[in-house]
Amino acid sequence: MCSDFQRAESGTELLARLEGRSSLKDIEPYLFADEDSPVHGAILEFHGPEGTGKTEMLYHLTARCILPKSEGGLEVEVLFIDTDYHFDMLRLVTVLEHRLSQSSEEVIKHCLGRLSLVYCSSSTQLLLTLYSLETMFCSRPSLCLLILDSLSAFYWIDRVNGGESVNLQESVLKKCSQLLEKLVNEYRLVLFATTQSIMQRTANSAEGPSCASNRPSDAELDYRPYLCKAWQQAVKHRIFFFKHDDSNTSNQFSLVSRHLKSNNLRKHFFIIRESGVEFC
Amino acid sequence: MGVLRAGLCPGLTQDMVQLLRSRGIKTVVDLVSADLEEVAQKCGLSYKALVALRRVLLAQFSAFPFNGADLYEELKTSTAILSTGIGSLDKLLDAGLYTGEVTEIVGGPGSGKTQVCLCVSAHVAHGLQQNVLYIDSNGGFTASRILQLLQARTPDEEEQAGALQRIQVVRAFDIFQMLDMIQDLRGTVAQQVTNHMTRDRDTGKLKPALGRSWSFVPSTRFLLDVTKGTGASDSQRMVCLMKSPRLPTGFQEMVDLGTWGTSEQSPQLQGDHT
Repeated sequence: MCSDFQRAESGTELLARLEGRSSLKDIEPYLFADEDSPVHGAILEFHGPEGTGKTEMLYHLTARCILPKSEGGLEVEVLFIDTDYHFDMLRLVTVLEHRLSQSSEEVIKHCLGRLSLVYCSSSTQLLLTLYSLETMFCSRPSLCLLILDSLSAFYWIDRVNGGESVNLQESVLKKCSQLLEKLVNEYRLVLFATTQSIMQRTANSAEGPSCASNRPSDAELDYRPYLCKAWQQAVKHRIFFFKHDDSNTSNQFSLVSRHLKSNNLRKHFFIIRESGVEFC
Repeated sequence: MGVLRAGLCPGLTQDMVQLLRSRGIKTVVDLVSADLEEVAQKCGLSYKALVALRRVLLAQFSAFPFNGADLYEELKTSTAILSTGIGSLDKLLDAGLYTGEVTEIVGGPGSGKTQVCLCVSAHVAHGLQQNVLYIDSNGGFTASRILQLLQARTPDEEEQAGALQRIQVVRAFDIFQMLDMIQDLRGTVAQQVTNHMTRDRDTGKLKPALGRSWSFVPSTRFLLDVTKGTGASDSQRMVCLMKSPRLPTGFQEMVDLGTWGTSEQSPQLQGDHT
């Protein structure tokens, strides 16, 4: 149901909910480890240390969505939730300008009109905002993509506020995860959420994440799940990001995409140019 | 934000608060996530009133979405790029310090972090005629050094005095004083912070201090390194870009601490001063 209000759905709302949302299958095939998995109702987590290209990938996906069909985009709406004030509008505009065949202020503004931005400064505010955004998802069938950068921004603050009890520390994020799962499933959205690698594995693991190794299993060597179980269960794909440190001025990156149920792994390389992410 | 109390929002009376609390609903989150039909039955409150209350609370405490086109319009007029006054550093930073972003300077002891801060302050106050808030937490700020830097830029004493007045210095020796200061700041600013180096526990390599959680906060980070080897004078430093949202990392430039006091070598910047 649209909201807690005890009223019947109007005809248009019913159609919007069922018929709906255009397929995001072509949004970026490289990110999905399992080609057969449905894209609707998917939750993908981007995980990696800083400077590995997670936010750039989000700009790439946003551009893919908001560009008009005539320019190779999907012409759908995007909602970007920013929790650490890292969203760089000017960078997104640069990416759009490079991808448009004829870029003018008019066209750029038209594309940006399909993007909505929300800033949250605490996990409680994030939870309340998700509740109030429900009406937005309900009434706008062209809103297909939800981006959350990043989900782990309040981790330490929540731990401090929760006192001694782990349950209390995790309670708000748990509610957020459950609500996100519900919204994504009910409104058939796709959610990309980033989490930062703020935890370190103990010294037992010899190789760090920065080596350009070819074995996909190295991806998980430094990974230590620290967010609540409810989130771990909601994620369908986990994508690890790496930066290659071999050359001095490198802009070579790679990602390893893992489908959590089927355990399929895919590895891809990409570079970052002025025009954004480019897969090799 | 959090606990429900009378007057928190219009329509929330003390009686309602008591009734809700008696059924385990103490915070805003509890109420918003609860099944309101159930709550209405258990607490004996009107369902309609609860629904209205939920709507008001959400409107008051949740964040409001902005449209991308509107935000872009606003940013076009309010974003500024502040040149640091050091040509090679500006190259590394893609023209300078961006407002709305945090730039971090990392370096070992004696690498010149404070010198960079003083130099940038002098340039912003005198060359760009903008206000500077200098928060000093390790006693590195000396007014005489700033005056020296200004004197090297202009012989005019009035100009020097004007620039000095635009620099506000605050000494904050614990985190609470610092947070207090930052909370009172209004308007768009560009922030520059310094950080020390420490050794990685496992590999022994040098890395920026304060750990991973801090490392995600700044958008840009550059390292100041003392250059070794023959031919390099004591005052030379190598600046290396470690993190940037718009340039590939790894770029290096050489800067000379000794010449920072003087008017910039780059002809472009000299043009700005006239």
